[in-house]
Amino acid sequence: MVPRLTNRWFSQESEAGILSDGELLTSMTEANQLEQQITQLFETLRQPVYQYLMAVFGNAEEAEDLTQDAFLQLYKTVKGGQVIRNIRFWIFRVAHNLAVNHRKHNQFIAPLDANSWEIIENLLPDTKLNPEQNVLLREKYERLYRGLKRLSMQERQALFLRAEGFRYREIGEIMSVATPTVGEFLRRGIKKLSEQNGD
Amino acid sequence: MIRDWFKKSKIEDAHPSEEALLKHVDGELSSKEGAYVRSHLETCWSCRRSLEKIEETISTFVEFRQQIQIPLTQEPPKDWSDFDRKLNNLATLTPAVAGSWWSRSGERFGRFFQNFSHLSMSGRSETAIGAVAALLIAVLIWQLIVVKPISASELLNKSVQFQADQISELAEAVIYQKLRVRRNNLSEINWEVWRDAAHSRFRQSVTSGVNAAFDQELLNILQLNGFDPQQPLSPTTFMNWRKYLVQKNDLIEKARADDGGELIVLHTTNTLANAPGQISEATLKLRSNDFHPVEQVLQIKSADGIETYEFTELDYRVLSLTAFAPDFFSEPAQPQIASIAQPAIPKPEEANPNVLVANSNVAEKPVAAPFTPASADLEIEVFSLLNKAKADLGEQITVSREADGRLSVQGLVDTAKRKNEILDALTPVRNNPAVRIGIKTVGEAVAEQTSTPKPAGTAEIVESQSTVTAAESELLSYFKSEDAAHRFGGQMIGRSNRAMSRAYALKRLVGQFKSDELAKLSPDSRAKLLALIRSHASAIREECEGLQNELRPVFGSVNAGASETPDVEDVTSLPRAVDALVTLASTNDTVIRSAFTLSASGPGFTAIKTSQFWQSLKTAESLAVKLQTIR
Repeated sequence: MVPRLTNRWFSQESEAGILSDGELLTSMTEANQLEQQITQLFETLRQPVYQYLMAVFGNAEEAEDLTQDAFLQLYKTVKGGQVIRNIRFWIFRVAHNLAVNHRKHNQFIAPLDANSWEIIENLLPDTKLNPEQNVLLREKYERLYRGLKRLSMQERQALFLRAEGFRYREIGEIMSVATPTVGEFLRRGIKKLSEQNGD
Repeated sequence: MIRDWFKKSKIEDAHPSEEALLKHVDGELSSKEGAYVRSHLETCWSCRRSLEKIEETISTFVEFRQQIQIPLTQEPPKDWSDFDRKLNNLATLTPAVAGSWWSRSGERFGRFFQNFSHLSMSGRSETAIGAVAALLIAVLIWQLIVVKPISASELLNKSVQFQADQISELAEAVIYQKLRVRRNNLSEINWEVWRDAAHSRFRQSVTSGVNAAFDQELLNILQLNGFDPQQPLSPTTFMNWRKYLVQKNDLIEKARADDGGELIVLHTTNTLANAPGQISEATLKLRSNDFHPVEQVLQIKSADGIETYEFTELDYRVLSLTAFAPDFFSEPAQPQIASIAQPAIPKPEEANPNVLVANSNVAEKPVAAPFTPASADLEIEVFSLLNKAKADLGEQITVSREADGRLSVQGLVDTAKRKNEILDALTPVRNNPAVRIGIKTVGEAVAEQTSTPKPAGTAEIVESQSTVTAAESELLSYFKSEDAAHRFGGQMIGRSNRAMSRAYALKRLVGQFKSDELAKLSPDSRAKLLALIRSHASAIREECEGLQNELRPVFGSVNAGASETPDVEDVTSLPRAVDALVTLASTNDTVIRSAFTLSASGPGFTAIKTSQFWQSLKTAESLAVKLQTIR
């Protein structure tokens, strides 16, 4: 029996990030400190944004540039006097749209190369499991990895945004689709992963 | 789907759908639906099993993400190194917020007057009133001296920026605007416009008060004055009209809208307006909280005096293109204002005859010459020239198309010598009005920073926990000396770096153009583009070959062939092939870096010995060969 997850999929680190955003937001009106605050926000949030772009768009240099661009956009917007209530959501939405616009041809490149499971496997951390458990764990991950590769672009985006802790409504706004469609993307995504995942 | 299931579930004890179970896990069901699912799960083993499967899958996905995906993508290629520089550049370019001083000073005045009236009514002594008066004078002086008033250009720039930011929040934005246009308070039309910003498409409709003569006259007025009929009420349009005026007066004041909201009103008078049809005065009203234009009044010279056109915004939305039917922009709505096709590029000599008047008494920047938007051919020419100066290989030079159709070449280089080299290389296009060149040295960029200097950056001391690389043991057993081993590692990283920078140069080059642009290139441009591609591809092939030849003796021969790669039949297949090549180069680079850079875990596994790495290296080489032979 797998322990029941909370209704948020994100990790403790991400949760800490959200709290930190809220605190920063309250003091973001003083222009003379704005650069420092944007830098602080950048340091707090750049990694999840970059990882999301890498997971769904797959190019490291582009992901890095687009992550930076999203924060520069944040700077311009806040400096222009606009109030942003949910910075984390705003940043993901802008980064997502920048990436979509950037990739004119919208073609998906698997960030983890098609033939590179064996390379990835060797990067797995050592566990304290016995050899048999270790093999089972690796097989489980490999099945999931192959399941991930079967996802459509939108299913993939919805899953990784959900894993970042966004609600269906927020995911819909980020991806410019209706909320019920997000439910359908996630259902199909989970189904594809679970079909590969032991069935 | 959920709703259907929920209705059904009320009639018979139906099992929740997979989507309902997932939403239950995610806390996305309504309270009624959630209560039903919870109650059903208490009694249904089968659904509990389904729920468990969903949770297992989520759990594995989350573990996979944390164990594999996140560690693999931990460090971006440039390690965020240029963010501070970009932010600093932006800080110097972005004017300080205008709204805040206004609202803050307004609040101060409000509080001040409250206190003043309170004192007067309570009959305090004359001394108190005197003190208050002195304070009033002090505040006025503070307002006039300390607070910097906003200029018309700043106001319009801010408004343009706000709209651009709002539009950029959506992937493919469509700007919808509904306007009421009223002439001399006598006749009016309701006019709706939709503008697809990403694809330069436009649709319009006149929904009431259709009047062919009025429509045509309105269109004539707009076009004569260089107003874009696709954006009749917008800060960009107003700004374009204003910048071509040789002699003008601006007045900015505050006002209240009918709904009580604060407005900033810009009046611009064209003091040289004398021909019928010319705008003699234009007024733009902007909301003070977001600088959005809500009303515009144009006063037009006519044979009988002045005619007034009043544009009032009734609705404004930024919508996603996905919300529209695919043929929305191809089927024109009826009725519409005739002959609005493409945005008119303002022509000063036609739009404002005053431009030709020499004795201008208004200090204005020179008016840019009219130009034809940069073509794909011109873009290739620019890339080709940059390539000659080797300035297209990851140096901080960007080539992009601006909203007005110009090609912008911007860059930051280390030395004046390098700047001159690049400018020399760009000589053939430097006088082309469709090309805007801005190459600065780091020193110039720093000197331009007029704002309060930021505290100096803190030096970061990076301490590595180890001084050995993952491939240390193989290198030492082959080279027998640490120095030689590290030198070799450096050479391999250098080769991989060069291959990466060529791959990214290719990507930037090809990424500039849409497929249809590539297909329509002139023979000369096509030849130049292909020559550039061949040059990059050839360099990548050489680096891949070099890596294989030099790694093989150290790590042993691994039997692996190249995987299948995308076909490169013509220029339209380039983007796909180049993307694949970038991915391969990036994968190879990750492996090489992990082998030859200092590792916290010390010597250990290196993927260089795997067949997958060799396969990836050979695949990159074979794809580079394909690109090298493109015709």
